[in-house]
Amino acid sequence: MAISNESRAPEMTLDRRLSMAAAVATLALAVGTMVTLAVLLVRADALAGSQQIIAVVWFAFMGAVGVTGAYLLAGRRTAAFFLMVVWLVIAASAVLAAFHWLLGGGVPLGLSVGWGIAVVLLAILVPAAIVAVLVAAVPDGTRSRYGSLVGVSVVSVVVVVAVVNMISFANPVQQDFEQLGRFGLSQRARDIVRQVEEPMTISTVYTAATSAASTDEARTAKADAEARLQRVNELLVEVHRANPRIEVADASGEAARALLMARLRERQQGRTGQHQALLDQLLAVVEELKQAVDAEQAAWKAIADDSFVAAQWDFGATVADTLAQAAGSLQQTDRVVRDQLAASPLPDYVALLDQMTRAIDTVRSVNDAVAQRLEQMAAIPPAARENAPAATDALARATRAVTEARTIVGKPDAPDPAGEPAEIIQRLTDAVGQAAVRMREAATELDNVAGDDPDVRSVLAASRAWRTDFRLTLPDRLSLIARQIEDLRARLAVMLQDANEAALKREVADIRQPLDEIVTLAQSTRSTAAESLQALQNVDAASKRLFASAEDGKPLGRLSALLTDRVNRLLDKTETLEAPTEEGKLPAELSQENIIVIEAGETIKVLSYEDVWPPYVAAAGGPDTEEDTRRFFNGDAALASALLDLTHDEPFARVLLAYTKIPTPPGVSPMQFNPPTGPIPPRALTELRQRLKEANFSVAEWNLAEPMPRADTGEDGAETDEAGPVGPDTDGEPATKDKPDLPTVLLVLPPAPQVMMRGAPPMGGLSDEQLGRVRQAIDDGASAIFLAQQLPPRRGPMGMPMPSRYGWNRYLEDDWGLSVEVDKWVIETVPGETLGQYRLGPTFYFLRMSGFGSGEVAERVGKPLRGRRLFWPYACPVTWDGESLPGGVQAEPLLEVPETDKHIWAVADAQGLSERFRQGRDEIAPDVDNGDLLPPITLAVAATRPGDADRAAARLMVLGIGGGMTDGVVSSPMMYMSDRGLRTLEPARANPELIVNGCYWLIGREQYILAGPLTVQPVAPISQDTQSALWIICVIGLPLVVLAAGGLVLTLRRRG
Amino acid sequence: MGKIWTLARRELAGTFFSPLAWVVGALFLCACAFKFCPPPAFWSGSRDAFILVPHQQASLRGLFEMMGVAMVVAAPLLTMRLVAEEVRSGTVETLVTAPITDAQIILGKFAGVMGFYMALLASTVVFLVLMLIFATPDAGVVIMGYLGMLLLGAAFLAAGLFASTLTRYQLLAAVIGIGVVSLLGIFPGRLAPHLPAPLNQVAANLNAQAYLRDFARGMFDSRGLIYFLSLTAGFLFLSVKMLESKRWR
Repeated sequence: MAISNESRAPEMTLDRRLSMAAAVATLALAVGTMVTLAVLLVRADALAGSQQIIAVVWFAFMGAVGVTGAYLLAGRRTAAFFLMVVWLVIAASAVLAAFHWLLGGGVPLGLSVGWGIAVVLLAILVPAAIVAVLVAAVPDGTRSRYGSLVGVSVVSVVVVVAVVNMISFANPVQQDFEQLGRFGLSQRARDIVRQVEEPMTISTVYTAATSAASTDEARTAKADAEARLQRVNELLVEVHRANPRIEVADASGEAARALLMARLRERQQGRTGQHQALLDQLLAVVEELKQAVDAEQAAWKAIADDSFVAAQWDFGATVADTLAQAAGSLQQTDRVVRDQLAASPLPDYVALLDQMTRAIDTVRSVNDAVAQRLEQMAAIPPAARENAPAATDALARATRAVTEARTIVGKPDAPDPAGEPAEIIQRLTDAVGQAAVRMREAATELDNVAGDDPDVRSVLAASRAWRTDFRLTLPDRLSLIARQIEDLRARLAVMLQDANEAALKREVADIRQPLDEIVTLAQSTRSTAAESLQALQNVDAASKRLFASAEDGKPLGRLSALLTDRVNRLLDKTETLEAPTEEGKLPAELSQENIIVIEAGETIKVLSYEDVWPPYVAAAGGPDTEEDTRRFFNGDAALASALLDLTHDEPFARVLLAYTKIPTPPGVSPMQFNPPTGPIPPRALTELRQRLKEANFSVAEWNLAEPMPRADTGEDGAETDEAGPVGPDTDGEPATKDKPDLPTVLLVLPPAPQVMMRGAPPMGGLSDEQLGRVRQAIDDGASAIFLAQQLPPRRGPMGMPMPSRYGWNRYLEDDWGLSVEVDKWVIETVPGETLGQYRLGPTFYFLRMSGFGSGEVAERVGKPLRGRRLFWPYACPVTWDGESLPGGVQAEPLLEVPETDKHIWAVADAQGLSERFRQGRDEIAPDVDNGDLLPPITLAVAATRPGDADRAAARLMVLGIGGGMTDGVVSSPMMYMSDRGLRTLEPARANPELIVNGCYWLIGREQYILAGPLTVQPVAPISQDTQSALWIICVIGLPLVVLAAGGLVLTLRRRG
Repeated sequence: MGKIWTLARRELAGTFFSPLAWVVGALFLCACAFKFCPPPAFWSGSRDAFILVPHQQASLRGLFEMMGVAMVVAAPLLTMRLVAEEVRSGTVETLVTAPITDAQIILGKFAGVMGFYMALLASTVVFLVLMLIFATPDAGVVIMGYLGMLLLGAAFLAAGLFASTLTRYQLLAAVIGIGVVSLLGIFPGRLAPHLPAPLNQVAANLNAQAYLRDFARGMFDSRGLIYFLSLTAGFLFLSVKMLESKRWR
């Protein structure tokens, strides 16, 4: 091995001629590049901000390279190695940039294609040539030569590795060998994804925030969130693979999330710009408002105690306190709003404006209330001056009358009056009667002192002058005296009638004391009233000024002026702002944890954690109703559904909510008429309507009293869910905006049960005309879903309970051979202690069933819902005779209680069942003799009918679980009473998917039925003991076995 | 090829006669078992992260991902002695003067340690058997998972071998190896969400665990294949060059 010793004179080992050539080339290139960059930097418009920074750095770097070139020119060997590394790296970077460009990336440095080619070629060839010259300059057989060659070869290999990977990234070959396709996109979702034509960005924002109490829980929650984020990201990668127009990003990191929020904020500003501007103006005025409130508060506190308004009502302190509260509220709101604006990446301007408006409105309402109260106070003195004489006279008369009555019997310490006791009592009775009347008159006169205005009277009643003690006003006190006199008179009258002379004589003596007390009370009241009336007429100057300012509309001085001049104008503006659209909810949606944000043009959609990771539901019949914390991945269906909603302008079909409405009887005011409604009114289906809309259906209502709305663009009115009514009180217009050839699906709601009332025509039920309209629509080609649920017994003609009937049975039985038994209630029980007996669990009123059948339709419609959280309250059976279905009808159960589920059956006596539950009677059993139905029980049916000359082929679904489609079940927690009190279960958000899937099947677009989560065979139950044994064997035993084997091997080796 | 095979057998035997290899193997299995088996009843935390949990979806995916993480430490520990020990003990002189090329030496050593790694991987079949007893794991996931583990193991072992050529001290070689492997298997995944574009993309593309995850979910992805193979080839090349440098340094 020939290795020369070059360490003593390294400068002498380089080939002079070659190294000089490399140095000159380096200097030339460095100077050339620096001159070019200098020119670009001097031209202000040549480079953008970041480009200028890069140019400066590059300029400095080339300066260093130039200096090194000069060193090399001076014969310094170390300079050669530095330059070799520099040029090698430049050449390698140029090669990578070239490949990046060739594989579809942009032209390097943002140059034009021509310049790009020139620069890249130059950046590869020239550095490569200089490196080659520098390597050649090092003598053969030296360490430097070996090192140089190794360096070049290593860099070359790194470049080759990078290029190979770049090529493989540009042309990936992928094959999913996972048999169920759990981690990829379902074919249906893939179809929807591929239909996206506009560029779209989907970002995941999984923050793993947790409210867990302990560190362990927090760590577990974080790990769960990270695992779920990974799963979501995998799905998004699949989405991008399926359609490169859809960009996907993980915005869970701080930087990426900030970028996303900034982007969304920019868009949001376009929508809520007016709200934002107004909020800014209100915030600007709030500071001034706070100062004015403080000043007014101080001014009202300073009002003298003997002032009219303060002395009578303590009004100064009251207003000051109220202003202090308003100021506190204003200050708090101001702080909250400013904090939100400062901290939130996407402030909810609409909500903040509302919050601020309400706080300012509080101040405004204080101003209005003070003005009103002062006006009422101001009305009292003139009224008192006008009415005081009459009141004073009346009081004088009343006092005189009672005093005169006393003279008949004398004062308590006076001698007995002369004359017959009966005659004295008779005179006294007449006199106190007169006194009572006068006292009542006086009370009435005093009550009228404030005039007729009840508000002013009420203000007077609250004044100190009018309140003689804690409870009573002056008029009340006079009324009380009158009542005492009347009681005295009644007592005397009884004595006259029944008592003997001796008793009458005693009475004459006994009555003196109470009568004297009444006289004393009347006199004191008279003098108090005189003082009060006088006080009410004397208003001090300060109070007069307050009354005057109230009359001018500025009871709170500068604060009132500020409110009138500026704040009112701003608040008026807030009322004219457009109501926030659906996207007004965006900030609230974005503030949730763990979301997916879809940006499609100007539209933004947010998928919540609940959408993508819905919770599991406990299996039907399970003993425990406690919440299961496990969740499953539904991202495929949720994302595809969202994309479908975003990408389809034309609806697939229109869904008409067909309902009956009872007209107001003639002669009855519509305001007073409260007609019975069906158990599932259209207004209770808001969530379902929204889901149908998201699934690309248009939704409208059809009042069956009218002809079916036409599906055309007729000018005679249009009504769809966007602008149309929600409740049944708003009759549908005759036409919808949909295309005439759009398929129609009728969502037929149960009619109100017929009610028989004595002396009145029956209400509710279904008329032949209404039934005929639905029949005609289906015969003409519409599809239908009939919703039904168990109904309580109806009232018969004599008030007797009668089994309820499903109004649509007449049609279903005649045309389809199906029947819904709404008088039966399918309940779920738990096994009792006695064999064959069952107990009613706390959730007996709803079924937890998602085990859809295995038939052709059930497989399509129900399979995606298997294992989902589905609750069916008040379910009722759907029955049919499979062998005698009319006219080629074919029916198939969708959802069925299997024969093996003995703990579920249909109860005929639903009322009795509720009674049993209330009474806490423990064990029950099916009563077949009384009409109970045992499993198998069909709860939902799909049917088809071939067409003929008179009618089109039709598809139909009948759901005895229709009660599960209402908002109360879909969007509100399900409540139940457990041993530990009232508990709730998360809403059954997936229920409407059955209708959505059903609609797809009815219109023949099964390809849009989303796959839903895949059901994978789970790990079998393992007993706790077995689990512990396995843990010990695997975690401890296996490693020990390995160590033992190792020990054995080592021992054998030593011996052998 | 014969020389490589001879050397590989010698290395494999050497590994089996090394106590450290058995300890590493035991620890690797222990880590996998910890992930696989749900802990006994006293464990109060969530059981979702474990694999053989009753009523949970049966999948070995989590096990493969755990193995991938464990290999960040295991691979450098297995390879640290391969060249460093030869250099320290002076036997490298004998080796480099023998009628065998540097590339053959490196390939032989690599094949030997790969043999031990494959035996280690084979021992994890016990988890597959347990899974087969209590559930029906997806065959695609199992096959692709083991393929991914082979590829990842090859890349990490090559990186560890390269680290072993850098120094004569085994411990230092292990530390360097863990650092290099972490740069491929740990840091990119952690850093990618926090880096600005396009660095986050570069980091994401460098993340070996991401490729393993694709394999572990039953997905064959040519990008992962190329990535692992090119990394393996690259590190083996570097190892050859490092060994070669011992001749002329």
